[in-house]
Amino acid sequence: MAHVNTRVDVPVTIDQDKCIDGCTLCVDMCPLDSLSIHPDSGKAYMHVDECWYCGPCAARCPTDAVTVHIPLLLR
Amino acid sequence: MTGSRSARILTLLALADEAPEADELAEFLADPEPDVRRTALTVLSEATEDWANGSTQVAAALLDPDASVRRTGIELLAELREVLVADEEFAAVLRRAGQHADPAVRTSAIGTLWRHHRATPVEAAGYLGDPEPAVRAEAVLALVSLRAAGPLEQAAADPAAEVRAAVARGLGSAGDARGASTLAALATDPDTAVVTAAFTALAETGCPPPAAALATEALRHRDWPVREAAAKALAAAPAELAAAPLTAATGDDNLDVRKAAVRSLGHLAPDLPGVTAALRTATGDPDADVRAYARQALLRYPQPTER
Repeated sequence: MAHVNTRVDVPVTIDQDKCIDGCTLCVDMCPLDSLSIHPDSGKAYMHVDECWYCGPCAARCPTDAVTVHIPLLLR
Repeated sequence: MTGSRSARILTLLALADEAPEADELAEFLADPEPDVRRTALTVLSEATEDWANGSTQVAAALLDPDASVRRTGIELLAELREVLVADEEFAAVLRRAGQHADPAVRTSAIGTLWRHHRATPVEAAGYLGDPEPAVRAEAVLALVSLRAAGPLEQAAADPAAEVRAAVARGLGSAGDARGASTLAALATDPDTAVVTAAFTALAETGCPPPAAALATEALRHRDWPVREAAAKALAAAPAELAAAPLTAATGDDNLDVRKAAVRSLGHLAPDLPGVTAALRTATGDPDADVRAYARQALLRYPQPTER
């Protein structure tokens, strides 16, 4: 039986086309410091797979670039 | 308008660190891009201290052509209730929003008006003709806050159950005995949520004999929330009418109904037939809450003399 050793999805995804280079709102708001600005693209991404599903990153994103994938059993 | 949309958003976010005056954000609030207008609203809500001007700007978001900006405006009007300055200009913008095609905007407009004490009974009653039940339910809350009994009676005949339930809850929170006849009518409603709300409200307004008869009958209803609400209503009914049905309800299958019955019995005089015996029996109930309320009720009664 094959085992899944690496997660291919993360709780928070950021649409790189919508994310604004230079904006750090979601990074500043994350209570777990799970989001970061990628040094190459200048766009936000989830660099630590930890999430409380609290939601301000998505709610306050000026361009609706952030999506929080809340697990079914937590909805 | 200078720079790209992204640049203007970045300018706005930089401005947020400087506690901007509402006027400084006016340019961004009128930006052609909805994303910029929405961000300007959030910056306004989080950074400004100039609520004399900022309040009207938040209210004006309800009139925005973009639905996401309007939604942000609706959220902020609820979130910032404590700080908004409800002057004439603010109220005038909300009155315009009350005619908007978006029902969520109309609901927010009348809700904000009454919560800031800017709605009149005539104005609130006007919303009872709105095609959207959520708007009419908000108008009912406005009428309750204004103690406008006449229009509330009219709303009790609304075709939507959520509006009729709002009327019942509103009359209960007003606690005015004059609302009991309307509540008695709502207690025969075909919708059980309305019936439950009506009996719960009768516990607050007082439950006169015709309503007490309905509550007694409702103790045999198939749905336990109705039986529970009826048991609560009987606490406010004449004791001689309430004692027997409440005593019987202490043997209900549902623990919430038994608990309500025991609590209501605790309001009655102990010399009524069966009351003390029913409470003593309830001290052996399988549910801890029922036992506790029964013990509390018995403690309030004079203790029999020991021989």
